[in-house]
Amino acid sequence: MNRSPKLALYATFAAASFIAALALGRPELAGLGAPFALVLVLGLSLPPPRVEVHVQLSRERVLEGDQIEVELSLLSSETCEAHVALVLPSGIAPADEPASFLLGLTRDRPQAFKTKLACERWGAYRLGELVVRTSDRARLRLVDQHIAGTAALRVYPSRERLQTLVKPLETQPFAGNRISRAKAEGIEFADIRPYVRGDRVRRLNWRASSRGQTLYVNQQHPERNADVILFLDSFAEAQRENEGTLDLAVRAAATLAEHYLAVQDRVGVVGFGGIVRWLTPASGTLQSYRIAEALLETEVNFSYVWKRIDVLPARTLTPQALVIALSPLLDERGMYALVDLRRRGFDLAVVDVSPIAFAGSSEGGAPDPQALRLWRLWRETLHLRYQEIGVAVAEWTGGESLAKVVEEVGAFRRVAR
Amino acid sequence: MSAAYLRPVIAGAAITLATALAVYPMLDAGKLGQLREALGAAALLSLLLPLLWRGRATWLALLLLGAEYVVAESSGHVGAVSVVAYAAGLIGLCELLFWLAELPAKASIEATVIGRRLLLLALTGVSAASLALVALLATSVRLSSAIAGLVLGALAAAALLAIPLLLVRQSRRSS
Repeated sequence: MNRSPKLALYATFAAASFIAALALGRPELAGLGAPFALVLVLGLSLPPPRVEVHVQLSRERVLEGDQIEVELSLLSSETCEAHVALVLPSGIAPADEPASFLLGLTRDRPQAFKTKLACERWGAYRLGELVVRTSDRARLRLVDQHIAGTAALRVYPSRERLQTLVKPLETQPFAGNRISRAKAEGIEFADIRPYVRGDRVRRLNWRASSRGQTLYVNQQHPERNADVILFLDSFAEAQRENEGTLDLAVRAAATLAEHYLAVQDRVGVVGFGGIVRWLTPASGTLQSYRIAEALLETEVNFSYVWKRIDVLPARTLTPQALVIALSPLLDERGMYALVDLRRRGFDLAVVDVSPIAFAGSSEGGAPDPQALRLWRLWRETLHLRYQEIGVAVAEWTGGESLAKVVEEVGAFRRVAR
Repeated sequence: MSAAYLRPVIAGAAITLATALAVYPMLDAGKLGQLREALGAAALLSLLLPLLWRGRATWLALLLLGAEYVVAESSGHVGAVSVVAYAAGLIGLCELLFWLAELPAKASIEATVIGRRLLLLALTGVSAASLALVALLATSVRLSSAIAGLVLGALAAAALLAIPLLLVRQSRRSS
């Protein structure tokens, strides 16, 4: 409990006026100070209120950009006015009005108050942290209550709509929506071959058989699924204000995961950084939830440890999987890991989440143009080196659509083949 | 209602009230007229401090206004009855200045809060005026004996001591 400056001022003024009245022999001066003394006596004789607050969220899981409604239920032991300030974590902001309210509470009568919050950035949050300031009726004693947040909110990264996806070069043995390069039972016509004992009669190609005077059968491409590994380089990030390369990378990963899962591919996630996190490839709705949860935990953890992809369990990087790396290409460990993956025969595509847009000088102003030019040249050289080893690289600034970048990667892979 | 709208309204009311309190003792020029004018002007200038600095140095404005009134009253330039209005005005000004200081920079305020505050302000003003009147009427009481004076003095002293006693009791209760 804190004492308001009003308490000292009123007490001093009342005492001074009484002393002056006595010293000067003028009772009118006592009349000046008497009201101040009355406020003191009345204010101090009333007990300060205690307020109980309960916070409830309208939704516990939302997408980036969504709004949620927060309901505050307050119960006070005395009639008072309460200044309630919501302490919001970075990434959550008040939607239209400030997150601070002056509420009039009535004794022992619960009062509900609603406000809207905008979820600006993905992440797992604990909401409901409040600072409630109340006082006695005369506002002589202030009571500050700090209430810890208990309401959990998960904000999933927003997703973009993609028309095309980067096609994996190889497929897996499980049924899916992709036409495999292999020849087996399927729908899509692949080739014809001479008949051998055991072939089904319904697969005979009568037109080819009649021309060649021997029996030929049709061969088809089977429909299979593919394994896609989303490789998030989280060794370092470039950040400005509340936005950074990691935010873009996580949004891109969420978009890609959703689209690959929609075509029955198996999707896995590897967070390769100070802390290595992985999620083995799987398909289905459950996996989409797992990925969403895994992405929320992605963060840059500072580390000096040199890590290679050997630290990953074998099941994480399945053979013949398409690895889509989302990296700002800032940390050598991440860059070498990508080269290592390619050297180990993985089908690799790199989306360079460009840190150039987040560049600034050490003083906080615009970056030196000469330095920026050199950095751009260095990055272009890096792209060329990746392309030389058969890795498709496309730069993504975040300002443009991810679909464009996916198309660029796909185009390179078509030409390179 | 937003605090940004309420703030200028309260500040305007405080300035108007302070101007009235500062100008009233100046109206009749005469003995110590320059001193009263100087104190009044200083009181109005000092009002800028709590208005611009979140209630800081409210004591200075209160002290200067009080001093101006004491000078005017002791030199016989204001009627003794004026203390009723002056006392109500002074406490009203203090309440307005502290209300302004307590208002958060950005907050939405319920209409109930404003209504209750205005009611409390009006009640404080009325109580202050009544109490000042009682104090004034008490001067006309003629005591028959020294014992009665002693009893009344003891009661007044006990009332004065009640304030620190209440403070101590409350702080013990809260700890």
